[in-house]
Amino acid sequence: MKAYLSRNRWWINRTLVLPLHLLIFSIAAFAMVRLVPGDPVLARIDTSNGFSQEDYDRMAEAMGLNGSIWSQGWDFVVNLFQGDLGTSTSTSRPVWTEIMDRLPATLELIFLGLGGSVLVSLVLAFVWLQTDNRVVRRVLDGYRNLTGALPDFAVAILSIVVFFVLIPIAPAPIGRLTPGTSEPLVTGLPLLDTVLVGRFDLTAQMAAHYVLPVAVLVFIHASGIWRQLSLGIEEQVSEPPTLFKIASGATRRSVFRSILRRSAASSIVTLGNKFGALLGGVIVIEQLFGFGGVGQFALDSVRTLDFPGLQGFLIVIAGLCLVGFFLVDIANMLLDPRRRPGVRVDA
Amino acid sequence: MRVLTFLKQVPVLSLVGAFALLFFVIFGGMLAPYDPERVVTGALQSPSTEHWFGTDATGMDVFSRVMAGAQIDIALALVVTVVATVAGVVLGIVIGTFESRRGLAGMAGRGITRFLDLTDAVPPLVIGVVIVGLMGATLTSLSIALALIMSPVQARLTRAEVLKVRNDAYVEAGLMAGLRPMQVTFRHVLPNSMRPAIENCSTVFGFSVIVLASLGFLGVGLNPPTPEWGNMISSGVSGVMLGSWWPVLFPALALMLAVIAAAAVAGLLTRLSRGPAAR
Repeated sequence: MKAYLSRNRWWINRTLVLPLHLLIFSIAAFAMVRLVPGDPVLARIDTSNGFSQEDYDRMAEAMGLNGSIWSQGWDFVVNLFQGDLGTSTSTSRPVWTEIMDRLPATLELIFLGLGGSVLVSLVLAFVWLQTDNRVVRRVLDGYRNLTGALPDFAVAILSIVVFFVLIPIAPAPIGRLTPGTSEPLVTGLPLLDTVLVGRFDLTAQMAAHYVLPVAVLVFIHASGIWRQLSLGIEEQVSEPPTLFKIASGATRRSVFRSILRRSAASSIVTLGNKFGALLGGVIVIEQLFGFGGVGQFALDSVRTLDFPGLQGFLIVIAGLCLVGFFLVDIANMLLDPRRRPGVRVDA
Repeated sequence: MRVLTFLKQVPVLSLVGAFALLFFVIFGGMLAPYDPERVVTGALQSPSTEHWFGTDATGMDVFSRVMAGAQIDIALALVVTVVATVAGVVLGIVIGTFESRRGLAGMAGRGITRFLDLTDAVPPLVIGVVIVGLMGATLTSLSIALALIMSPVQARLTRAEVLKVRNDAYVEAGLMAGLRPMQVTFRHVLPNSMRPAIENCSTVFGFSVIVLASLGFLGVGLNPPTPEWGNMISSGVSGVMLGSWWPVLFPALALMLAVIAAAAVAGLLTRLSRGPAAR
């Protein structure tokens, strides 16, 4: 038992701190929303005819905003442990339901974008390893240097102007389907749902609407992942392990796999960071292409000063990020056992 | 002569980028042929010799607004870059120096370090939306939000460098020569550990411009008629469907150019921060 524990400490430790981090975050999210000036109670009261202190107190109690900030914070954390994020003050529905109604659609877009980026990076890596052509290599090097120099926001607008207005081949950027068509709902992942209910005509239509935003995401983000991957490959390609593999007559495929496995670490970290950044950044893309998503809920919450809504949004997003970082660490330690803490390797 | 040798070693692109950015910050507003916040003619006129970038849905001159917007977006991003870098470097030095000590200071240092790592888990745009949305969009709230978003990055970079530099011989030599720890920290550790943060400035700048415009686009940032690229894009975007692309394309291009210029400046900053030896 003890031996098992110590051998598996690398993932057990990492798993145990996850809830702790989430708790710290929830407190930080609460503090962040509450410390910023703004009074949601006032925003909800009809102040046109004046109002009394009783009106104010009654509304505050109805919204769960009575009592000191400490008691509110305590209640908030206690409810959180029971999986209750509170009730939205603007829609009067549970915050958790509000978020879960919208989150899958956002995640689908992010996964399509990042999945595409990973695929493109792997293809580029394969081409880079296969070719001796100077021009091809220069293009690939140039592409990785675009990292950070292109805002996805501006590129998305450019793509709309080019592919919708100037060369009209893309569908209008107003939603996932032609306006008036309702999206089937099974899992909440829009594209998957059209397949699940067997409406393949809708699948095709939605895929057409997805092409442009996903292409923009892939174009922007593959560059960063490819950059890390190619730096890793450059470092590993002529290292002793590679040479050993070649010398012992391994197949080309096996050599490639070995190189990729050793050089993937920092690009996986980049992938995790991109996932985190996109959870926020994709709001802009969603708004631009008229897709509904969890970002819309955050914007509405800000507009209506919906404190529980905002806190819930922050916690869910931070939680997803933390899970993402966690998976990155685990993936890296699985791929390369030398990265596990406490493992010593002499080269 | 020295200017010449300097010029030889600095990539031309960096200089062009730096000059372009500064030029638009200082002269952007003067280049505007019309009042950027006033309706000057009919709505949605396509680009012509009179209105180079056309007019928007209310009849304001897009060229004037893009130019005036440069003054807002670029200048604000510059302020944010300076504030975030100064705050980040100071914080980085402090936690880098204290976190390995025993006692309360050490604990606080380690706590802050862990917290800075955790800030990674909230996407920058989300922090911006929450803070600016709740405080109301003003130049001050935007600067505060962006500085809060950017300074942890700078602090982490500096901290990592302090941990490296701390064990260098000159630090020990300074302490042995009888300098007070404070003096060693600010005279010797500070200049030697600022480099990564300085080199990262252009990234911070570019990112600030993007976040600023994104906030404007989402309707959380500065509102029209203030000429800000993000809100120009958001108010023009519905018109794209009807074929009027100019109120949206030009601010987007300006945004892209600003970010590319910032990326070009990166080389310059690296050279400046590496000191005369590297030149």
